Amino acid sequence: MNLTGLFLIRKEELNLRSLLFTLGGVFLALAYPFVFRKPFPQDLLIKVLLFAFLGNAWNILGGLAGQVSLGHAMFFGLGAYTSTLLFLNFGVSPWVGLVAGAFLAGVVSIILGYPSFKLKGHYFAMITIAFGEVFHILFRNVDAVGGASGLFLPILDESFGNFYFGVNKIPYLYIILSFYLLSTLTIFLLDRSKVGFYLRAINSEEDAARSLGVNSALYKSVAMFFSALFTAMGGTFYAQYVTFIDPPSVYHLMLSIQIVLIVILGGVGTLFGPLVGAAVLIPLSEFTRIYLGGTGRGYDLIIYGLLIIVFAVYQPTGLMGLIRRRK
Amino acid sequence: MNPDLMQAITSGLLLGFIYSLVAVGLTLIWGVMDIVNFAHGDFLMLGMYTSYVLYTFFGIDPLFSIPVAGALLFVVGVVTYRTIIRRILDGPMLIQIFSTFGLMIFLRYVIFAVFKPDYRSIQKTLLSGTFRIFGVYVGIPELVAAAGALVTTGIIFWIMNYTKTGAAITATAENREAAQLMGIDPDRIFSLSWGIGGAAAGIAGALLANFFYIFPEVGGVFGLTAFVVVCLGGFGSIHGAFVAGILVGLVESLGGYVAPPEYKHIFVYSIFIFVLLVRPRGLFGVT
Amino acid sequence: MSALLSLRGVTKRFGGLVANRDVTFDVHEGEIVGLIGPNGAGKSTLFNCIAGYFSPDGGKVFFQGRDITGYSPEKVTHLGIARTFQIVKIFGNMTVRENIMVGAFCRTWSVSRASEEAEAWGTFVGLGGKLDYMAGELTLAEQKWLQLGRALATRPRLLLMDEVFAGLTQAEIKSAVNLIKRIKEEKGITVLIVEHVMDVVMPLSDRVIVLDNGEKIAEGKPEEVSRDERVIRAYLGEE
Repeated sequence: MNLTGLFLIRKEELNLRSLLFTLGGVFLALAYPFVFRKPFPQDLLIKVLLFAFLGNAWNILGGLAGQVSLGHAMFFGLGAYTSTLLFLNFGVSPWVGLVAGAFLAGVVSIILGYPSFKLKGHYFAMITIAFGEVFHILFRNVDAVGGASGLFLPILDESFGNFYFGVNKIPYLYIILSFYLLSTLTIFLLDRSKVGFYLRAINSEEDAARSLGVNSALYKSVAMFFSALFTAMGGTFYAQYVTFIDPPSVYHLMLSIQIVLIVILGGVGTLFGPLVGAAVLIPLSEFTRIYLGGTGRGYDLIIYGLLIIVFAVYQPTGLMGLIRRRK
Repeated sequence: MNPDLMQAITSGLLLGFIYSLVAVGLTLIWGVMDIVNFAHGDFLMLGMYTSYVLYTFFGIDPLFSIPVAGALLFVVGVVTYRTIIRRILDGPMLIQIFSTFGLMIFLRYVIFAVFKPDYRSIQKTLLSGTFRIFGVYVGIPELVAAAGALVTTGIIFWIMNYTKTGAAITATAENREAAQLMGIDPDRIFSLSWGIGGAAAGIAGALLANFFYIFPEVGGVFGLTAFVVVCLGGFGSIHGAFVAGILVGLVESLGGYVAPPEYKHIFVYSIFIFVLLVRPRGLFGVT
Repeated sequence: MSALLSLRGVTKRFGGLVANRDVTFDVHEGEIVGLIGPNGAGKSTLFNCIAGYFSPDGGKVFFQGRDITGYSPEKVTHLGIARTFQIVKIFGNMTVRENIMVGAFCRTWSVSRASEEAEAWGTFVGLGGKLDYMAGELTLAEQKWLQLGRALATRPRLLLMDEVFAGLTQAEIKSAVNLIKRIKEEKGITVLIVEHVMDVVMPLSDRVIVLDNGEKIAEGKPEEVSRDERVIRAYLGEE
């Protein structure tokens, strides 16, 4: 059994109805902060969209190309740290930092990815864990980047140019929404192009793909590049939104795992799987934290763990698989 | 020789024997069925908490908890196989990875919720104390743990090489279909491998409990280190894991000696990355 | 007539085992050549040395006069050599059309162009009615036609076929033979067939090369080769 290989969106799902659904969804997201005016629900949607965005990013490499990375936190961290350090040290606009961080992560991903792509399956997953941990340890111990105590972003004038809006969450919501839509559109277009065909072919039968002229290392690198680029954008967004970053919050292995978990729960290699997964998992984790109390008791993670096992064993195609089956 | 260096080598060696034992359990499962148990470090963590609970609530010295932890984790291993692994054996790789990942998170945070994130340790055991030899301080618990790990690794080695069961496991690892034709039930062998693998981690945990801090996330470090060891020793190779465990213990300890101790794991991960990229079959593995 | 493909002293070892020793032969434009030999003769290894999956330890492979020794599979394909696999390797979760499109993308970036090519080649190999079937749902024979169509869509000048007849029924073998003849006659593509069973390849091939124990033991017209004593012995020794 192979989890992917189909178009992220099947042909029969490409119709007016889906388009209306998508536009309706965008409209609902735009209207949401005017219906839910309290910070908590607004924060919740921002987190859902952030993780849906990160899930999309992971899906380019994991879902399309079939390369399981468990080290995506390193790209997230690179994005967060690049923009923050550029701002703190040189006063560079976070928007420029966003681009710089994304580009840096993309380049790093190719440098690390190219030699690693010859590793298959578990081995690729494990080398990405090792890369992620090395980044984690380095950033925890190098004082020039804030070390274990992390970095604070100062309070600035609230403006789009500063990528800072204080307690007003609506601009953050719209920014992450546009990031999410951008990534979704990119994947949609990528998926239907030659690159998408090649990635799915590599995912399905790498030897056969190569026999048809597919330079698998090159195309995996392309997937990795886009994947890292978007993930780093998420990192910069996180830094600007939370205004504090430290290695455990942006470089932790659990972050890498959480991203993949969201995709698995939603459905690997589906266009809207990450959104569905994030929409279920993020509120679940936020509410268990609130209702089961005890900050940092890890109840949400127990449920995570159980969910992963249950989905792995009984529903490997994720929630999207359930939705599709019912049709 | 510089006493600090001697000290680093000694601690590295002692820790290395424990790494060997943990890795032997991991490599056994890996070699037999090509499944990576990401929860392996957390099996070790459960072994530590077994000792902790028996000590705190029943006053049993951790020395005597070792067989209990071994037996308990044998059962945990078998149950893991029967409830989860058996169902994903032929599944896609992503699902195989994530089923044991899910187990890892589940076990870790159940313990986290029950025992809180606090670092705990077992004070005043039968083994407490240190002695000095050639200017090097050696903790008795560390020494006994290393010896215990060596003995347990030896037993597993003996089972694998000199018993019928071991032969059956090896045969299944080499060729599942052929083993089946010879009347070996692969399902039973897989189950048994998970039991032995779990027991190895449990015993290692109980040995560590004599001197190491006990906390819910302790399995993370040991689990990752075990991967490094297995990778270095060659996937599925038991004697490879044994030698590589000692090497990794030494590298870690000497890394903490030549560089600030915070960086010691960087050395370990660097070896890991290097071996994966340059010699993916490990130092002792055959293709 | 210049050689399209030339092997010069190709040697491939695995550890102490020599799979191919000093193999030299040519394949000319427009030929159907059979590469035959008993099991374990080193046919597949040699095949993989040509297709870029193995790098020979000695000797050279030339394609259209160009030294392609040690080229990667994808590069070899771009130069105009396509292959099929003995154990079918199709993209099971893609449709027949999409499978062939992957091949067609070798020469184009245009999705619609690739789709048209897929239709043409799909029809050529007899899968015109099943273009939108999932490849995984096809029968073994159909999957083999799909592999062919996919390989042809890369627009090769030389097609390498690895044990294409294995596992097929008599009727299916017949249509495979027809298809291979059409590939040569209608499309002008040179074909090198690796095959274990002699009776199908012999009538189909213009020329036959026989391997035994990694070495070339005979080469020539099928009727000559089948009378060659060494060939008879090699095949008899197998039984």
